[in-house]
Amino acid sequence: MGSTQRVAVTGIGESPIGSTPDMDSINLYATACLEAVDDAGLEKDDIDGLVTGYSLVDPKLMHSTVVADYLGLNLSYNESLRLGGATPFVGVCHAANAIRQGQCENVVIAFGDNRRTGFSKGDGVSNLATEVGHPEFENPFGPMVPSLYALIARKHMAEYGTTAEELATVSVACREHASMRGKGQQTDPIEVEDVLSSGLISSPLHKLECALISDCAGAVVVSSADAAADTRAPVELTGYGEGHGSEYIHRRNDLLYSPAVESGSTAFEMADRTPDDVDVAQLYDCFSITPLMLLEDLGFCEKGEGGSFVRERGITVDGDLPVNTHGGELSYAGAGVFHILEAARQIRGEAAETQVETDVALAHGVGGVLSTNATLLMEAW
Amino acid sequence: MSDKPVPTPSEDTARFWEACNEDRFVVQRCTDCGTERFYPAAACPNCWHTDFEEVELDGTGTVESFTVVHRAPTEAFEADTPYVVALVTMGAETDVTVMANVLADPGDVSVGDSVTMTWEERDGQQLYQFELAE
Repeated sequence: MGSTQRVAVTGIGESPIGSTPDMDSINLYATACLEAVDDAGLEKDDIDGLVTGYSLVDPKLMHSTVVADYLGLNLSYNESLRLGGATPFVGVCHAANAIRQGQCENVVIAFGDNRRTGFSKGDGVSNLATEVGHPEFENPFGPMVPSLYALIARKHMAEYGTTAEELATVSVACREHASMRGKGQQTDPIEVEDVLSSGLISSPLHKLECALISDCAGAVVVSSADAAADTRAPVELTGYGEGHGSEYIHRRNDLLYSPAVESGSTAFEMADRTPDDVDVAQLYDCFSITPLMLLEDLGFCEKGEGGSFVRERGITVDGDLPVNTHGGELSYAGAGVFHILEAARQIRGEAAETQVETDVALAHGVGGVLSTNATLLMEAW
Repeated sequence: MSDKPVPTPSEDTARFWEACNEDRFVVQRCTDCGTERFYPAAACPNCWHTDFEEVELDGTGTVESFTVVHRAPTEAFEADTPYVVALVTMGAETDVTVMANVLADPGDVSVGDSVTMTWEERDGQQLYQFELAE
């Protein structure tokens, strides 16, 4: 088995989303894993690899081993990964590499948590705030997590003339997709004016420009070519790449650059594709500024043109590049793992009301403050 | 006692916070490649050289970006909202960027503004802050 062996996304699954007070974090993970393996048409004993994220609500020293124990899995590949929102995206990259090295055949990658009901309301925000900022050199000054992205948004506006309306359009597009699908945590249609009047959290970002906080988990199965042959609806993972930058925003040499530049170019080169080939993009949307930066850094437009791209070319299903056709973290659920699931659905033709004609789908995840990035490209098997 | 976070100095950062208590903002300058590093660390992030000299900055800077926090991260900051959190590029000749509050009416702050360092006492620790330059 050489390094060029084809690998496939063979299964996708998700837990109930929103508020699930009767399910703890491990239960959410397990529910998503069971559905993903079933979706692939595989059995428990086919699974020999597992990558899980982590839980802020219920931390474990060895998270993936705990999930494997819960599910009774026998593994030859086992990884607990903790790279913020980029975790499941990097997990898919690692799983594909492990499969290509012959270490395993079918890897489940799962990510989620019960942050909505697992924390008391104030605790959830505080926990997230102290997880992300530097304890000595940032947090004493009182930034929220949105503040860290707001610093990027403000700089983008000052440097390129990006407008509040352009940023708000990202939220409106995500909501339109969730509304069309009729599934997700927030499905009532909104207009730009609703976003701008939803209240400033940390300027220039308003409430409706911030990701939802959800109880949820998603899982995806990545398989070798041999194993994929026996699955229901494999999708080829044609390219993937990682890019890693500074964790702390005050250490960033250039606020308007992200390592999505590196993760994207690596993925495109592996797949022998360009941004022009991409029909649908599932872009991490922790805040409205994030997809706008990613459109630029992944090469869909020039640096500084993210705002005009959103406004003129369009990111809804009627636009030039449909983005987050499930609704994203801004409307569907507050975890980026669902971007991976949605890219696979688009290739399979299972994206229901927001299905677009798709030969090449991209999914991109971000951890930290645009710190860690991973890009995935999928095409028909 | 302030409920706001007070820095807990580490082996790397103790000298920095001690200097702050003399109202001095010092950074480490690598004696090999000349890179100024902030925060303090055991090795230069550019070349991994471990020797450094201490350089005191003059406290002038430029607002690289800022945000006005309306929703406080913790209860301790609620009384201060809305307040400005900024990234400030220090001086004309450094690559050092620091995060701090700009103690001004949020409506008066813009990207590119000149600011000067000022000091806030928090539980016996002097904390660097900024105000708009005259």
